[in-house]
Amino acid sequence: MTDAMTAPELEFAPEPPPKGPRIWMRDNLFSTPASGVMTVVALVIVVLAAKGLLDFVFNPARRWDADTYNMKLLMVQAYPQDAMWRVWLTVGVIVFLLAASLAVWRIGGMAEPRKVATILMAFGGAVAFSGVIGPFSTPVQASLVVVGGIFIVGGWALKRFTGDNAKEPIIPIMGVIGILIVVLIAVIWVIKVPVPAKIIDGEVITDGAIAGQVQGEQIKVLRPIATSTTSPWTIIAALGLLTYIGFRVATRKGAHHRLKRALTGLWLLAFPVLLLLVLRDPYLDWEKAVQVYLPAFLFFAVLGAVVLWFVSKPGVGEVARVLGAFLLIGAFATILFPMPWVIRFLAIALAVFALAAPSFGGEGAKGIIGGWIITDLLITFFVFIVATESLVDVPGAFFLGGLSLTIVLAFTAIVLSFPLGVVLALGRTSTMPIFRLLCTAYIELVRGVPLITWLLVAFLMLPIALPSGVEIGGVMRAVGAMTFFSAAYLAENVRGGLQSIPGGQREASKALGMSTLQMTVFITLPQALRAVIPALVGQVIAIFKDTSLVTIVGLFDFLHIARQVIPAQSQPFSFLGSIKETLIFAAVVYWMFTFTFSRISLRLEKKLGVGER
Amino acid sequence: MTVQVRETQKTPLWRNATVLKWTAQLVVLVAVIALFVTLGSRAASNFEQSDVSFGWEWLSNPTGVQIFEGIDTSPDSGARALMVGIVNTLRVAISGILVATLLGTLIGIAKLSKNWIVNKLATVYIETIRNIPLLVQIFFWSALAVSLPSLVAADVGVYWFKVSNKGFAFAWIFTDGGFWPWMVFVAAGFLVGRYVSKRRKRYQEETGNLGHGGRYMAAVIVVFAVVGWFAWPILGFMQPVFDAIAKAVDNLPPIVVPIVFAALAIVLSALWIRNFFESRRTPAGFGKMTDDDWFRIIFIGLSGLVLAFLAFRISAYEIETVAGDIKSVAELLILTIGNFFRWLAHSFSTDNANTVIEGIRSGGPLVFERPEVLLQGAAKIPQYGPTGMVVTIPFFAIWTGVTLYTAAFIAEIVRGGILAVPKGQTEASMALGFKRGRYLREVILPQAFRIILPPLGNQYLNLFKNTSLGLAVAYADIVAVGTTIINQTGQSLPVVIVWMAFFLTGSLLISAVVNRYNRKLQLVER
Repeated sequence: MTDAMTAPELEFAPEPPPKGPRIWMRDNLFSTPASGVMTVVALVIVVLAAKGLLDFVFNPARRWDADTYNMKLLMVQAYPQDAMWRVWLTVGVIVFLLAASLAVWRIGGMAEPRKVATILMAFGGAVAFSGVIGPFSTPVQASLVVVGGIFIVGGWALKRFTGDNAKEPIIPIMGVIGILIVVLIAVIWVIKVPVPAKIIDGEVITDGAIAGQVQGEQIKVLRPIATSTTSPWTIIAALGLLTYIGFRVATRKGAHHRLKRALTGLWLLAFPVLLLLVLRDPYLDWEKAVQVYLPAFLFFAVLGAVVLWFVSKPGVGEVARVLGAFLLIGAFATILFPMPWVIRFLAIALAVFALAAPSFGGEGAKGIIGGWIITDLLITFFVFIVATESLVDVPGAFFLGGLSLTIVLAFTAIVLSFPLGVVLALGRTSTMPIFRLLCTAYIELVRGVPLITWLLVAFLMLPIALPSGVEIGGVMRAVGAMTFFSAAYLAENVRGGLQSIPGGQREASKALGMSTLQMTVFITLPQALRAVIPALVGQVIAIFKDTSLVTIVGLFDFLHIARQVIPAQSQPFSFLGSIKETLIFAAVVYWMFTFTFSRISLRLEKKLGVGER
Repeated sequence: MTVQVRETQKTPLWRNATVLKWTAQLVVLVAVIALFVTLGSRAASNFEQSDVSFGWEWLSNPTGVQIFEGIDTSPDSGARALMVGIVNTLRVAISGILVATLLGTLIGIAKLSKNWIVNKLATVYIETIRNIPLLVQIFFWSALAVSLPSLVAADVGVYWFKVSNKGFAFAWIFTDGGFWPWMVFVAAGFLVGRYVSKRRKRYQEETGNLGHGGRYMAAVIVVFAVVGWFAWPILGFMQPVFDAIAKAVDNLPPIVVPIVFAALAIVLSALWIRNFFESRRTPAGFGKMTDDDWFRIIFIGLSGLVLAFLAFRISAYEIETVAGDIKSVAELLILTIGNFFRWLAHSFSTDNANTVIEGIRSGGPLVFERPEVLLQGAAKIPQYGPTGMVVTIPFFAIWTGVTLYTAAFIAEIVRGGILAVPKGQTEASMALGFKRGRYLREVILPQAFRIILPPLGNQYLNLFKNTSLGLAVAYADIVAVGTTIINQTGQSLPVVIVWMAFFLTGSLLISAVVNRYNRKLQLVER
């Protein structure tokens, strides 16, 4: 075997294939006459497009200060200035979690110096090229060419000095990203951005509060980024880097399952806590908490413990199921009687726990009772903080706007539509005809009609169909419409996964004596979800892009502020008609998010080996 | 030897799987129906309080809707307004699908090109367009077009192509009076051509000589088209025939309509059930039916009966027409069918040869027109005249947006499809001495098409649904017209029902066409 594998010894090593820019160009640009023609045409397109783009971007008439001046508006709309620390705290927590997860899961491998060198040289080439064709003054052109040249030389030198190792992956990607972050932070301290100003009595006024009260010629001046932005970012970046290094060093040895589990839990908790408690700043009515929420929590904790202890006893069997069913009916019957919502939620949750306990409880009831107490606590706590008013003083109905609202919309819709989508997919592949009919009808009906129609339904018709006195805010309606919409698409993705599982898996689990529920939860669903992870990431991207549709129904999301609010602004500075600048900025931001997601999807696809069989 | 048979224990009701499953399903079904009934009754009572009762009168009443562009800018009824919106949606969807397919295929192939710079250009296009929300792109195209130079008095004249912030105007071919009779000739040419091409194919199979079936077919169609161009007035005898049919239809009693529809529904469901029984038949008699099978049979049978009942109910529903008289739906349907035949009679009338519209369009099947900039109104505002094709800014924004966006997705699908064709096919064609263009066209693309088609159909569906974003740039598609009607009449529920019916029908049609081709293209396997 091994003999056959070894290559016969050669007297001379084979001549390495010829290399060099001329040969590369012959092979890749002018291999045939037709290819040569295409190269020339494409080159003309590239030069014209690049020149058009540079002329557009660096045209003095462009109002890029519409973006820089309104950055806070674009990000968080009218969030009060003295409460901005809440926003920075949120960003900081997310960066902390991100850095810790990157370190604990050891994400980010090694890059080949050759690739890094190619990227450096391409970047340098692009800088030099735009220096040559861009509409700049001669010194700027010269300096751009020089900067581009430095990058090209740097790339070349990297390739040269790594020598034989150029094709070995030896450069840690996370290290490169760390250096980039440090450079970025350094840059935001020195860079100057265009800000609008008014000339009053020969004096340049950039302060909106003063400029708003007087008439005067409006100009653009270059100013450093305000310290209220730069210092938080610096602190957050330093925190992120330190966290990464700290966790990396601390987890050098061994697998850290507990740490991973803790981080996953923190991620899951982070979103509702940050959104509802930190950003929303609810009014905490402790009196009501003691009167309603604490008794409710204690009552259900004790009741749940008793019920769950009973139903997960071995040998109780079918009685437990009947009890669970009665609990569920009772829980839904609470809708008919007036009572605090927290009791209804807790009753439904307890019924679900009781129904699931015989299937998942295992030998002891300890785990499931612990899980119930935690669930009980979380539900009570979130109902408590959601049911009160927000203390954030904003003019609109919702406390967030701009990019933060877009992210909240996308994230909530994804998180909520996921369980619904899985249930719909299970229903559509179920053997029970009425369930299958209902789920299929739902999925096809929702998918056959565009999202904008569903948004219009939520905004025009829902108010009519709701009982009088019940009102649902605009953001909640949009979240609802997007959740129900994307659940149908997610269901189709998950169905693909469910259908890809070989029948033998089901037969084997039946042979082991598993119930249908156990088979679904422990055997088929995990495999199905793993198989469709790339498709699910694709759905996440689609939802993120689809959030922009809420601008049509008048929510103040990122696109709405970029397209409607800023180009209509005339005080304290006029940005009338600056729609192209703001739209391009919005496009770039959306692009950065979706491009990152699509790269993650590609990596996952490769890592999971889906599609390579 | 005796076998001791244990007395079979009867399964208790709460452990019987069938009972449990059906109970759960029925409970959920009842809950879902109860939810809809509650919401519906609540909506009905809320409607009553707000003086707007649910109804369809707006379809035939004037709604006062003004439409910016389309086949009719001030429609006299709600139905007509919706019709204009539907035509506008279809205009974007159909032309968008055609162009997006072409562009997407080109870019997909470019992304596989060995030419480095062409390859990179395609990559940049795909990655940019695909990752930016469509709505942002539509807004951007709109903003770009609005900032174009406006028409001034000096622009008056006739053009081949003219760009301004009032839209894009260019020379175009339009249908004219003799179009439909001429199309009859073309269709006949197509049928004859297909017959000839089949004959040539048989000839090729028998003799081994090249048959050139495609060329023969094209030649036959051209000959028929040329002859028809001059000879179409001889079809004028069809006019009295269609007129007679129209009269016959008008005299039908209204009760025929529900009877036909009800009979159709019942016969179709009965046929389905019979075929189903037949398909389960085994040599030993009827096969065993599962719960599921019985459910299907009951469901189809019930649906047939419900549809038959609905046919009678809907036919008898009376609405007020624009003219002011009250007619039942059945009468209106008969009237519509009669009108269709009257329209056919008009289309085949030889009088059309002499019809001259505003001194520009004259008789003949087609007419070529160039756009013109005129000074219009008392204020002498320069505007595009009625001739030539004028693409408005909203149309441009939505069309460019959906077409470029879908093209990026189609490019990825085409690329994947081509890559999925086994490499041996490429190598074999190269070994046979095929050039790149030829093997791509004749070997790879036909095979790749089989893989591409299902996801391509999905993209067509997406494009069709994305045209609804025209609402954001005030393009008068069905959603925009519908929202205007809601604002004018308050009839939100009926309009939403119309939207759903339209989009579901469109989606079903597209997937039906795609599935048909898909079945045709699939390899026949044993």
